Amino acid sequence: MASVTMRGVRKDYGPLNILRDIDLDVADQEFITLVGPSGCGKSTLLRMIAGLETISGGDISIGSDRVNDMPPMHRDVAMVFQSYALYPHMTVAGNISFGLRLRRVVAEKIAVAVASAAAVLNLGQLLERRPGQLSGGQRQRVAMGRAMVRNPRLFLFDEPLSNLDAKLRVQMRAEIKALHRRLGSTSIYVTHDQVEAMTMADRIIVMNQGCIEQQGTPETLYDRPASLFVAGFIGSPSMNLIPGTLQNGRLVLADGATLPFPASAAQEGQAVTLGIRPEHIRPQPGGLAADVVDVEPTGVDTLILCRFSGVQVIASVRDRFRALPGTPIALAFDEDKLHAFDTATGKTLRQ
Amino acid sequence: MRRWLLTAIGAVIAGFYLFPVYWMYASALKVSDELNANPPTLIPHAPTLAAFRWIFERENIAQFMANSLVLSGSVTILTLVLATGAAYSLARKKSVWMDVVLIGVMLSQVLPPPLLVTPMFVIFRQLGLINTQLAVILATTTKTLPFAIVMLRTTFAQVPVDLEDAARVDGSSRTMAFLRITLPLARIGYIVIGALVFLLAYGEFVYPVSLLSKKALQPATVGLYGFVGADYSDWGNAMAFASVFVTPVIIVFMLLQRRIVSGLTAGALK
Repeated sequence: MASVTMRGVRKDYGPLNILRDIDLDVADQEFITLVGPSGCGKSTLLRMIAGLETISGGDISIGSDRVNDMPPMHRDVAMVFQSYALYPHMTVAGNISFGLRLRRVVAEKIAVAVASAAAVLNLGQLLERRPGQLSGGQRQRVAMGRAMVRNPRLFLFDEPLSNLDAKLRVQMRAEIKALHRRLGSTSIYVTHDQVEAMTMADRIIVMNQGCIEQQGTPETLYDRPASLFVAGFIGSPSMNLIPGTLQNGRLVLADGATLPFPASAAQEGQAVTLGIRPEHIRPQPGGLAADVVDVEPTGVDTLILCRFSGVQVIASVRDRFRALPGTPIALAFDEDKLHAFDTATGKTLRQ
Repeated sequence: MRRWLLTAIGAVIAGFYLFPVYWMYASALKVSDELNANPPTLIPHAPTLAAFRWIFERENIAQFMANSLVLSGSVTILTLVLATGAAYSLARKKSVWMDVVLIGVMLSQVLPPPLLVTPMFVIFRQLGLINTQLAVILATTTKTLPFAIVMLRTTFAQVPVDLEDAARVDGSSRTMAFLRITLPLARIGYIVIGALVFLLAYGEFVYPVSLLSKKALQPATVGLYGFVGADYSDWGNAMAFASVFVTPVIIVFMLLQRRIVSGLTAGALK
């Protein structure tokens, strides 16, 4: 097992800058997720840790080794690919044992390691099959087995669940977490799915346009987003963001209507954005007047899309709610759950 | 009904192409009087193996065939070895210069052997390689290599890079990843391309006829040419010689034809 340290890491493709000034510490045995929209550089960063991409600047260390110029074969890391990347000409057993055979581990030890990995991952019946004969979920398990059998000091996951259907994804999510708990191996998990990031991680790193936007526990990112980007990215349905101007401690919208605004570092007259999560808006008689645009029952919650003063917001309520589009509705905001952002910089104005 | 019609059309076209082949086998079995009979006979009246006996006993076809096999086999191995490195880098490295190289490789296929044979002759004479099989092997490889590079490149391009990356993270060097993962996955491509290169080299005529004057070194293509003189032509024996020459090719092609056709059109993998 090992920790990972990155200092001022950057990646350039010719004149194109993909990553800049990445400073990141991953503690031993920690499970972190790298999350961000496609093209934010998260997969590139993971491949740099694996040694599959060169490092244009800065340092990456695994444990006490600076690995910048170390080829992947000597880094002692394992990686699970989005495409699984199983070797089609080898059996499941052959795939799982490939890394051990390369290291010339004796046959008896290999057999034991493969058998125990197969038992954990429920692959016992499939060891003699080839990847082409397996279902997506089974291939995923083989890829996991290939990674864990070597007992590497670091696990890297590159969107490993994105090719599975929704049900299988939830199941594999739990299995990867259980596996991490048992093996205690340091893991870095890349995903674009914020639900995956939230549910699996000890700590989430949100990336955007080649930079780390914010890092913290899932709860921190959800409750105290540091920027408009994180506020919009984490949470589903995402946070309502309402731009306006601050006057007399209230948010003034384009048409002159006002909304409550939390105590913040904002100056009078500053362009600010109010953020509020859907579950913190509820229908309440005597509240803010709005019109229902649509109602979306999800089963657990009901989402109410409302419009007022040219702004559309989503409210999420626990109770059943029915209304035709165009019906007037009155809304109330939980005033202690409001978020304040600087519209110009996108940064939080929390004091 | 439509199906019958298409089958009939297909049969007619195939018959049109295959008739000369049939004629070759039929003529090889005819006695010389029947060969020149008018009207010609479609089926030999009195089949004889006399012509085959003649070419084995008097023309030493075994020597020609052995030369052909040595030349084509050597060309095939040399071509595949040289093409591997070029094709692999062309498949994996993305850059404008790689495109330029690829276009260059494709263009080099345009030049026909009769055009190149004169400068080749001059070069090989200076190297003292005239009348050696090495000269023919090298010359023929210049013709087969561009073809093999272009074909192998597509084969390698179909092996996902992820597989090599996975192997490298698993603990292999780049070379090891190539040898243990990419090469085995490209083996069908190698079989198909190797067979086609072999056929190209087997049928090569211009280079051996120009670079080899010693009869003992000449391949069967040149040997066959010897039957057709300006003032005499020995059709019966020539046909028997040609039959012996092409039969192995036809057999190999029939054995491999499904793979060759699928290899030429779609992925040479899976």
